[in-house]
Amino acid sequence: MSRLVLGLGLTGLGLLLVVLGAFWLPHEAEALSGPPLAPPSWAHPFGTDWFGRDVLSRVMAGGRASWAVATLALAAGGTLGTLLGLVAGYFPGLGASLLLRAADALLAFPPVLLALLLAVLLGPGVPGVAVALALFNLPYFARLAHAGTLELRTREFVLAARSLGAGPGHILLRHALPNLASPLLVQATFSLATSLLAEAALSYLGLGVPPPHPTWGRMLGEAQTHLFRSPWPAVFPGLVLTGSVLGLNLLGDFLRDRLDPRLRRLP
Amino acid sequence: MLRFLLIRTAAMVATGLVVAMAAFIGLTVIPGDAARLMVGPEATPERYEAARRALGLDRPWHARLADWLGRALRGDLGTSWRYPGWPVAALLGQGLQVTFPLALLATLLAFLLGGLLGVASAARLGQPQDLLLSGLAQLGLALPEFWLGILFLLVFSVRLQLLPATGFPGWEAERAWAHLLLPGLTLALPRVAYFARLTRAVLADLLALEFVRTARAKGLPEGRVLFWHALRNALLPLTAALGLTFGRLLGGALVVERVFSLPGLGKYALEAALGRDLPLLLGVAVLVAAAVTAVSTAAEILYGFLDPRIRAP
Repeated sequence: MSRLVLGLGLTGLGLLLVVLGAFWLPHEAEALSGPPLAPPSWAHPFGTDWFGRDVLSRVMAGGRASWAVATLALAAGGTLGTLLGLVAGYFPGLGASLLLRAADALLAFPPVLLALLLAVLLGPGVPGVAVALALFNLPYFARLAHAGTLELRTREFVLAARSLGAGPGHILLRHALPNLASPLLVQATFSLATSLLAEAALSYLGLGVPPPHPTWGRMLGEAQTHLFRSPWPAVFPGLVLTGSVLGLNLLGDFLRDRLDPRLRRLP
Repeated sequence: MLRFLLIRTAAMVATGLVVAMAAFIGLTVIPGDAARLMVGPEATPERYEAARRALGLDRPWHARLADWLGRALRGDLGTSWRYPGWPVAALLGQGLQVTFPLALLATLLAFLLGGLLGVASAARLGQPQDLLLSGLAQLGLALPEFWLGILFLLVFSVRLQLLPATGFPGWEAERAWAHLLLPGLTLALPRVAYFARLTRAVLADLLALEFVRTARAKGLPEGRVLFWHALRNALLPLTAALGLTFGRLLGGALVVERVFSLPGLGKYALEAALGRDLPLLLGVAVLVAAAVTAVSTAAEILYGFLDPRIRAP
């Protein structure tokens, strides 16, 4: 129970900052609003960066891009992967196993390297990063959906539906998918967490959302340059990012234990 | 056993070839105009034509693929564009001089620390020590590597001034290893959490089995049951995870290498991607994919070697 509360609290707090930031910011994110590298104060709770921009406002505004890219990548990779896994599981055979092998081959590349390869193809902006993260998420969903469908396709209720004349599309979407919803939801929670981390790493490297719009990753990169003068700008964006990811992981653990009673929970 | 070995090795070579071909096609055939990339948009038509011929783009793509693959198999990965005159293989070798020991250090640290913590957790399942360690592991898995690196820099280099901040002086320099210590620790910590969770989960499953109950019933001390009977059976999945972690780190140390300005594989990958140095990027991609495939095959063979049930057809 405590995991649910802690997870919701941490992720909720991070998300609240981001959503609130879409409507209201304490200062303008790209405007100079104080002395450079000021420590936390009432006017600037997270301090200011090298240019004197308010770090709290930039964290609030920067999270929008991070969350948007991560969610988009999750939606695209999760949907495609699930469909691929459903079809491959329902029609086993050479074609299916080849498709799954291809999805697995994606895992041979660490996500950051995959993003670099795509940055060359699509340019270093948001599309490259989003496609890379989607491709990175895809195999996990494909595997899950494949294993689940393979097991479900011989179960009585599927046979009953088929003997009543239901086509593969109806069976997969109306019978298989709802039964796989819980493991897929759990995976989605974890995947959202890793996507957030990967997006931050990529924007730290200078890929993804271009400046001057802030992102958590690039804020940390800029803060590192001035680490010897002030540590504060390097602390808060990382804290918010870590809190959000930790919260999502806790939520994923909670959901897994709650939704899948077959999985024995470690004491 | 021999049959199993042959099948696994053949599968590895096939996967490696497919990934290499996919990378070549993805990077040089689909985007189209590598020559335009190389000379830039303002080049004269003559220079553009010369670049096209130099790259062999006037020939069909399958001929180029066969050509490249043939030379790659003999260790010739072409010449870098960004570092004119440098063979890609030599640059990769330079990068490996940093990345290989770094990945090794991080993997071993993670394996030893994580294993110990996992055993400690499993010995006290459900008790406060176990819950604390599980909580710490959760935190370790949520920390972004590059932020952890920055925090380490802040504490050990800026505040305490114990360790050198960034860069790598080369192996000839004195205390060269000290430059790898912080990055190694940074890469290790999230993986410590991973190994601790894995060890705990595997051991918890094993401790519920009959042979452990028998060992306890015989009156063996708990330490002997844990380390001699249970841990021995847990070593197999742990060793496999060790190999996989190392293989993935060769290509996955990129961001942390960047935090500490290390001239490793990641530096070349990043420069190649941002500077559009296709031969170099292709070289990194093939090297990393080959390493990951080789290591996971080695892990599968090890599994089959130690557990006869797996190698049965």
